[in-house]
Amino acid sequence: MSGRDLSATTGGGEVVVLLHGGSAGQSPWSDTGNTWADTAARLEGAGYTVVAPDRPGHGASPATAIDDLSFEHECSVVAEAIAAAGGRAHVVGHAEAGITALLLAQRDRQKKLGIEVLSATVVGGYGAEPTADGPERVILSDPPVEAWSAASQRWAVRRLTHAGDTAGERYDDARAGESSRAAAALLEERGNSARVAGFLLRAKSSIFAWARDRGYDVPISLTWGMEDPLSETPRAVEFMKVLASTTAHLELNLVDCAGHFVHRERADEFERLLLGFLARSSAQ
Amino acid sequence: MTTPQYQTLPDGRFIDVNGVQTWVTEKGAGTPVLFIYGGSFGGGEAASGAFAWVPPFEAFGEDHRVIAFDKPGQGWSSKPPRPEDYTMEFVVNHVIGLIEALDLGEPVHLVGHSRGGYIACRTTLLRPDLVRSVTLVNSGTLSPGIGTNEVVLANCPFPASPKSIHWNYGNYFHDFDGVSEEFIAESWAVLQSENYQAALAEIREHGLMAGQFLPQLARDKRETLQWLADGRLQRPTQIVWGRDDRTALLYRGLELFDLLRSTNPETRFSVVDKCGHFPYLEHAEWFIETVGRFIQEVDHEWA
Repeated sequence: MSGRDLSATTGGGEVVVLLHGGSAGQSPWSDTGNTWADTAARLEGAGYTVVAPDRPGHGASPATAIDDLSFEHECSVVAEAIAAAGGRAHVVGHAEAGITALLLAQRDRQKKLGIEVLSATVVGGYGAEPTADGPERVILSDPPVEAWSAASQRWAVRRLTHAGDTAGERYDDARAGESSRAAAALLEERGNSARVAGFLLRAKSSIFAWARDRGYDVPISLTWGMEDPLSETPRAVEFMKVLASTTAHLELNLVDCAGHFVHRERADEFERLLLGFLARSSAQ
Repeated sequence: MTTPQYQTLPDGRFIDVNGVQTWVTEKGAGTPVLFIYGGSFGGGEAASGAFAWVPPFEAFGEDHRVIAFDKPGQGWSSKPPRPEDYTMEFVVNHVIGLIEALDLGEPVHLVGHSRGGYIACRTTLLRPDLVRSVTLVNSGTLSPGIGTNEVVLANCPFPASPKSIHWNYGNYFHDFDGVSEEFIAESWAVLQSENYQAALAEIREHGLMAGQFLPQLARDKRETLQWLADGRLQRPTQIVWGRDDRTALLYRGLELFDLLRSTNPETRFSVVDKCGHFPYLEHAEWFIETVGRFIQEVDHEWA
């Protein structure tokens, strides 16, 4: 799998896959596996083995075809990484990648991909939660030019962050900006933005139908920033209702003084919640 | 070409509205009442149509000029002329064009359900001169809050068939088996029709729902909610809701009510129990009485 690997893969403990958020070529900031630097260090300190790749279309994993941006493709790529790390893992997904985490948590998909998912954690909204016929969000509609420049990314992240610059993002990753521009160029090709919109609808439908008709059976944690301008907490509550058909543990944690980047804005609180959940969801 | 007809509504005719061969049926005399049903083009496993309105159409036809029609790319009406016309904006302008083409001579009572509630509201906001009153029935499309239709109706387990139609509408209903055989038959006839399939094929070819219709609706909805908050809806308005609708939860109707009544003194809200998304089918008698009384009172005030 291309992408940076923040892990000391010799840690020996259970594997935790950390998937950053964002939609390649659409989100006006360029997210990469680096967003998890603090989380990864904390998890490794606790004995976990961490894999934090750049998702397809992002950072060191640029998209070369529009299908690279499908959730199906992302699931295959992440499953390969899990297989390479021993075959079973906890999956943590921020925002859009929460969709990937919940797709991989479907038992049939795990069988097909030859992996075992121990737990799924969704960090922050703008992913799989129900949003049908919601009004357009305009907060990020007009990023300053040049798109994905350091200044433009800083503008975007500030807007999603509860208290200004508390997300502590670095914006000097030229390669990440290039990948965003490459994905945006793909999206401009005729019919491609509609295809990517279709990928999202189909992935969400898969999660909803699975929860409705089969029910999840791996522990799931939802951790939401109470001030996330992309997804208000009632959406998290509604999402929990959808997932409540599960036969396994399900929890929702609302973190105060946090916007879209809960894991960076309230790193200590987030890590405490995640470590507790992972320990309770351990295979042992 | 012979005009296709529903088994459960009086025979209709075609009129050209904004480039759409539009199927319309009418009955009765009195102040005009126009019904706008829900759903949209692009549904592959179920199709709505003017036939949805049979109980109130028949009842209000006793003392009103009732009008039911098919929206572009739905029912018996032809598809939007160009791919870029598969938008809610086009559908709203089509209703405005229809009202003008019918030359009713007086403002109309609009009764809109679900997506049609949004259309009724948006029509009134754009052309209040054409509208006498607005009835909004279980309209998640118009209401604030979280839409759960995508959860309830995700991935229909049946291919297009009477069974898939029953599954879709059954999930909208409080009583899954309350969907009548006539209703399913009408929907199945539409779903199989050449016109409907032509629209469906065009939508699939260009990814028009995910890529165009939904994002443009999201844009227009933001503006619509802002207009409502500004107090631009100033026609007598009634919100009607089935309490057990899992696709448009009751709290959303209440939020819509709060939004409207903060600026419009003539706003009402009526809820019926043991009822899903279609109060005019699951509790037809109650619906006819409640909405009929509202329309009658508005007519009395305008007389």
